[in-house]
Amino acid sequence: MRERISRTGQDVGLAETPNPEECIAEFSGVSKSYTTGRVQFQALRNISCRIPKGQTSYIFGPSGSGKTTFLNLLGVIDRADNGSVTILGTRVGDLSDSAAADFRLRHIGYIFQNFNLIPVLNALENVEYILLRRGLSPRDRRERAEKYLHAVGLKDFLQRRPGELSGGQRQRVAIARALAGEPSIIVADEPTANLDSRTTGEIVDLMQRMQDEMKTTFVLCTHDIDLINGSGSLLRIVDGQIDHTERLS
Amino acid sequence: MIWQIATRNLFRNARRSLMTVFAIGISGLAILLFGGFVTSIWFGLQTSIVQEQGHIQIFKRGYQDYGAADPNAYTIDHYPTVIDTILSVPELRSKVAVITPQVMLGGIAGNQREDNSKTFIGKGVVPSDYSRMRRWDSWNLGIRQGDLPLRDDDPEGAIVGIGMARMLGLCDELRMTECKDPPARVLPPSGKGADFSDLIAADLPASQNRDTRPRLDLLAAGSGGAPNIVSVFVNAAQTQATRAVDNAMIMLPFEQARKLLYGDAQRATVVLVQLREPNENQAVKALIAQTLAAKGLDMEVLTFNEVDPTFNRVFAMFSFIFAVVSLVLAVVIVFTIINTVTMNVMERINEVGTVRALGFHRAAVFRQFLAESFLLGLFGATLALVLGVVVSKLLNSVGIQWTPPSNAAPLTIELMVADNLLLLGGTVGFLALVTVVASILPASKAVRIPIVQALHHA
Repeated sequence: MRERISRTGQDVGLAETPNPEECIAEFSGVSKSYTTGRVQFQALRNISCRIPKGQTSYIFGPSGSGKTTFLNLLGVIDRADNGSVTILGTRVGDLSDSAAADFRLRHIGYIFQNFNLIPVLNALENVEYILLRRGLSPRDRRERAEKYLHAVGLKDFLQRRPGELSGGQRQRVAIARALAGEPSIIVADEPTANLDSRTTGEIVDLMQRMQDEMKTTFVLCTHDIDLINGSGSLLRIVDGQIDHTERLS
Repeated sequence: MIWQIATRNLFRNARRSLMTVFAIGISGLAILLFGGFVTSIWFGLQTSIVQEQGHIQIFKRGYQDYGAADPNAYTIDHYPTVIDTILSVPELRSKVAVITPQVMLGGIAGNQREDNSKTFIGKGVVPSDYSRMRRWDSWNLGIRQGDLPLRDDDPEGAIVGIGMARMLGLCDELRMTECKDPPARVLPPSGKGADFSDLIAADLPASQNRDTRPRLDLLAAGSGGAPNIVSVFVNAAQTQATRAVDNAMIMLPFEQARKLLYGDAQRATVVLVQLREPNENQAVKALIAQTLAAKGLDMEVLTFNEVDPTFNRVFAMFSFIFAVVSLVLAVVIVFTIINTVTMNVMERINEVGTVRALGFHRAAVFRQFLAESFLLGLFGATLALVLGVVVSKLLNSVGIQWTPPSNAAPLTIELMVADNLLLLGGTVGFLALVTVVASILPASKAVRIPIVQALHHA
């Protein structure tokens, strides 16, 4: 795994990460711990790094390394114990609960491991739902949802509910939902973990294609080295610390 | 879309939703039926009281407080003046259905044939007016008491309570099956009864001596304190509201009662006013009081429930029971809804986390759960309305009867549900409100779960 990283890209340290103007997010001395019962678990330890704008960044590491915690902080659904997370110039840890929700709505798109679609809504409605708070007219919502569902290849499945779709199709709906909000960053937490290998390839290709077309910043969290394919940057986390960063070409 | 999602979520757990809707519906049915019963009591009791006593009663000032001890001092001196004064006001004339004087009296009633006598409480009424009053049914409840068995052209006629008839030995003569005359009396050694009827027998006109109806002789103190006697002939015996009244009641024509107490003086104890329309009591009462005061008549004008608080007490009792029943049912609904919403929340914590991660505020998620509870309440209320109307119509067709504390005759219970918009609307609002309130706690707990924790909830 390490060999592949070295082979495919150029090793970069934090000092060599993009300068602030080229970054969409910056972690500075971030620590985060969780308490489960009486046990305290240190998920991230004094992490500092930058996420480049308009690229795909891969957060890679073994299970329990702190990848998801990193993504949660980047997705503004959790707060750091120490340090700061700055996204698009905003210290998101200082936002109120309500302001954080607004920030997520405007700037963050989510792709979850378990798809997390609303089961009582069909594919079209699931994508439309995220646009409800955008102030779009019903017609505009419908048109935009259809556009992104067509883009992910679900033209013929608009009226199907999640229970009537395959895993790959559900994740396509989730990708369309994330894209439809036209956010600044799309965070994807193990987006292919519940998919078979063929579907995984399709979904990875789709996300890369979407990134190429839309120039949106994708941040993918994975423990699967095969998912790291294409250009962008890689950040490896081990035991809550950044073990390695690399620019992929 | 909030309602779309809410509706679909209810069908997502159709069985659970159905059970909850049934629980709300059955509770609502109980509220509607009992509410219909209380409404029926309110209207029915008021109608029966108004048929007997009118809406408004006019006394000489002080009668309510002191009249029982000194009725002569608190009698209306010239009742036609009171009636004419009221009817001289066009607005009052248009609102008054019946205005009639009454005399309340007490004394001793004797049955010469049975050599029997007993104290009585009496009421002198104008038979035609009283019969008209008994036809009042402005709420269209179908309550008919029938005409009084007294006639204006039969000044010696009378009605007694069944208890009174029994004690005075009138049962056989009246051919009553529901009462029996007392056993034969043991006469004093003189062999002659102590009945005062002998005093009047010789003075009776020949026509009265030929009357075949049972005769009672009534002895009462006149206005000057001197005893006076009149004879009446009993047409019928009727059950009265309470046993004490039933054992002592005599109703006779107004003129006969007036002559017994006041001779030729145009005096009366009370003037009853029955209105055409209900719900105008207070306005008409005020206008009457103002009119009489302007004429210099020092009268006390009271509504029927001010004279006798029984109506208010009975209604307050049933209202209290209704409130307690509603409260108990509300508790049942609250726990049912809390249970349902809690289960919904537990199953959808992950969904809550997702929606919040996508940028929805806590309030939006909170509203979503409240909307679902509101729909449950609405569906339950709709079920309650349908069941309420159907069941009330079925029960009404059975014709269940009850006798209120102040009534002599039983009232048919007409559960007033179907056309009772206040009750229907109130029940729907109550059920919707209770269900929404019940969901506040579990919904607020759901939205307080941290997003990360919610997203990883199995």
